[in-house]
Amino acid sequence: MEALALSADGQAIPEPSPREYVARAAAGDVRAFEELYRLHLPRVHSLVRRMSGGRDSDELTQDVFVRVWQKLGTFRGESSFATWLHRLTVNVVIERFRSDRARRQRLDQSEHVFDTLAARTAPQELPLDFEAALERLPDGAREIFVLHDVEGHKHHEIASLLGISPGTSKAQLHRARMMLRRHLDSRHA
Amino acid sequence: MPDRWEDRLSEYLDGELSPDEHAGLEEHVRTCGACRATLEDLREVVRRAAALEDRPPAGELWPGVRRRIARRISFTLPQLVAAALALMTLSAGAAWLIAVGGRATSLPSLGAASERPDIGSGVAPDRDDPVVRELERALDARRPSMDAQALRSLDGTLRAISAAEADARAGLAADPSNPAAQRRVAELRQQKIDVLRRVLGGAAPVRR
Repeated sequence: MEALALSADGQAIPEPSPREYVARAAAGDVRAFEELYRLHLPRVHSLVRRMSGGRDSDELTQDVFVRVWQKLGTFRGESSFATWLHRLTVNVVIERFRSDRARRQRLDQSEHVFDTLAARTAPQELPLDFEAALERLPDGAREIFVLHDVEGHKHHEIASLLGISPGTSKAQLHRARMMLRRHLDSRHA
Repeated sequence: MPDRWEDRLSEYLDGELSPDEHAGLEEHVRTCGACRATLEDLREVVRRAAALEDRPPAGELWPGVRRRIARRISFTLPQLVAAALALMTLSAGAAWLIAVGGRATSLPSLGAASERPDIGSGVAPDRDDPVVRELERALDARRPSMDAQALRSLDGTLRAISAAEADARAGLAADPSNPAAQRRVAELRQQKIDVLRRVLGGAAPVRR
């Protein structure tokens, strides 16, 4: 990162630490906030993209950072900033797609879409890239797979976040893994 | 055709089975080639998931973020004054009710709030709150470059919030365990922070 300022004699002032960026951004320093944004953008966008299946991921990423700007004054430092940001990101995505009825529909969603997609792939073609295959999972199974296997959440945490039972979380995780195993390599095409 | 153990393979992998179930499935896997192969695949899926790398978006998203946070901080000062004074009226009223144990039958008028002793031509720095202190220092640095009338409006707003906060703190001092009083003090602090942040908004604090 380039230095933000020079001292009176033209010497570069050492880069602020990430913690200092957080403090400055919380005090309203937009330039410091932009540094935080750039530092955490790949992580946030990747999480958003995987949870949403690539749907509206740019707009959702922007939503996350606008929410960070709004809520930064509430960050007390009990957890690391990255952990706080992760929780906020997950909540923003879940809120966007939250609807009890819609969620039940997503969890009940047939695998036919995924099967159809797989059928279109001729045996001699390369299988889908793993991340591309992940983004094509049915919504509910994908969210749970990302939260558990990519992000490391436990089933009781996922159940609490999504308003489902831990048993449903386990079943959907297994379902997602079984679908994804078809796209590991050519022996499954 | 999947056997009855196949649906439990993920739980086995994650250590979620009971000891009896774990032993049963382990025994089954020893003799079932299909389940053994599936288990290996599931391990590979988990490994691939853990190895996924983060990447930024293809396009530049910062301008959109910048515009949206600028919209949130570009309230006109008259709007800020009106909003803050409305909040102060409610806050002062609530704090006054808390302080007298809820026996009051009417809220103090806005005039009563503004007749409180002047706490200074500017705003007395809040020495106990590092976030507010930092914002007030940043505001002080910008004062020379701000419009005089806008500055008077802003100072009036901040004095009103501080007065309401002083009332709320007095109520809290009279009843420290009162959760409503605690909430009120926290809300007023946040209001002050919001006003300061919105005014300081798009510019970085002037560097010394």
